[in-house]
Amino acid sequence: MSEAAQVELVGVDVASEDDPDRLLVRDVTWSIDAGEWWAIGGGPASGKTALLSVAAGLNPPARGVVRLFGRDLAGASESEQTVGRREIGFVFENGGGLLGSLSVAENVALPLRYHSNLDPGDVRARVEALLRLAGLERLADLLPSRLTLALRQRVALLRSIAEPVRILFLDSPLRGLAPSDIRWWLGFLRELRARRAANGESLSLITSAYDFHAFRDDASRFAVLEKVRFRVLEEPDEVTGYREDASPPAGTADGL
Amino acid sequence: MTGTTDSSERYLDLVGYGAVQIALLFRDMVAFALITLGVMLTKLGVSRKVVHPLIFAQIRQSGLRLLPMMIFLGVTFGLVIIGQTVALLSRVGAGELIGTVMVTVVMRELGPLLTAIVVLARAGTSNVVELGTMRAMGEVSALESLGIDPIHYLVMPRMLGLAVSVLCLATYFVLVAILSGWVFAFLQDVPLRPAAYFGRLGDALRWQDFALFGLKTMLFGVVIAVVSCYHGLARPLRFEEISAVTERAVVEGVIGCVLLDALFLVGYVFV
Repeated sequence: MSEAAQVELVGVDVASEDDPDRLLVRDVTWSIDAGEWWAIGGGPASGKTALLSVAAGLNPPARGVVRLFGRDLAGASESEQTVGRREIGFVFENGGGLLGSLSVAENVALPLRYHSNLDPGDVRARVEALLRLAGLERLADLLPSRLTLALRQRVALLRSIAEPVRILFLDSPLRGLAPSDIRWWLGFLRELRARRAANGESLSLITSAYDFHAFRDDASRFAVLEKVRFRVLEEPDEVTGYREDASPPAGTADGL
Repeated sequence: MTGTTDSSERYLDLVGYGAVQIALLFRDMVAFALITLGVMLTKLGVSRKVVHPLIFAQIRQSGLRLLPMMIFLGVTFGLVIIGQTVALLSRVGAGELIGTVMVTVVMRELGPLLTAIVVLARAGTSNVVELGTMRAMGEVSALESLGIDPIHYLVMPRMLGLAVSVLCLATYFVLVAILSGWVFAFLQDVPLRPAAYFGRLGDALRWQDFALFGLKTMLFGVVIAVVSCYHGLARPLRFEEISAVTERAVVEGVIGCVLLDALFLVGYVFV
């Protein structure tokens, strides 16, 4: 185990949430160090979302050990898990899982209001600052259903960083986005990491995608899910040569 | 002969399988209720600025918004059933039984059960649909990713809100039904003064009736919350499954309330 490993998976099997008997990824051994930017590639239904959920401690693994900040999740108390989760952000695909009954501002404010005893005025100020960061201050009072998928995903990103997270999981954040939105996301993530670095803090990013095209210049580590296996790509040639259509979905006869 | 044995064995298998499924469902729901109770005991004061308004919102949604309907039902119930009963009892000279009949029928049995079924039909079903949609949309996973316990944020407010709502609605229902019952009897020229009517009612009431009424109605709220939240949240849902799950929740909720009612019958016998 590396000294700085923030997330460590040892011999982990990941099962489908719908069908616990169906294994999507087998025998994952993966270590995420502070400040790394991982890009995880894989075709549709290759198990990217399930793997990220297990690595973030949201779902238990079918087998193996998951350690977050050196703590084994299986033996952690609920309060330890809650503390761990507050240091981990997760942006889900397809709109980011915003609460449909809360406005944009209320969604972003939710983790702040739930976990801290900040005055309503302070919460409002922090939420306004976050929305301004993403140019969304005009949309503060709208319900998520009024926003496009791309904007919802941006709000979910702001909500995930409302608390000072140390690791940010982004599940296929660029899927279906226009080129201008993709540029915005990459620019925002770069700036976020630069700001943290300027304060002497690190922010690890774990992003998933069909291929590495968008992340090739920014990510520091690359891995792929193919044929139900997790494989770290060590050579630059492997990264440039990777195409998602080369890997069949997990669970198919070919994939197994 | 062999064929008959085979079919009877298959039938037994089917019955046994059904019984095991019901037992497993009951076990899961009890576990869900106990987990929620545990969260309630340990986290009632945690994040109160966020969670307590949710409790009041639930009381508003499943209690206050149902009040007009419960008052309407109370008035019609009082006019149609109680009024006739009072008139009939007075005519046959069994006026002294009015209090006992009212307490037994209205306060012990029909009031709480009818209220529970109305709340289940409206607030319980909307809970299943709301939570099922949240689950299918990934909102529940998103809450977990923010370090927010869905039981604390989604289930606990519903359970407390429904318990308070059923208690209050049943109280209003009983009061309105008793009043409108007297009005009906008065309109039918039954020689019964208000003082005598309410006096007989008061004579028939014991403190145990109030205690059991409170306990029973609140437990009905708990049953509705457990069944509806369990079906909305307990396992991953797809959109197309929500309507089927809602139907199941209504059936199980009605069965749960009726079984609980039967348990209370035992309580009334011994108290």
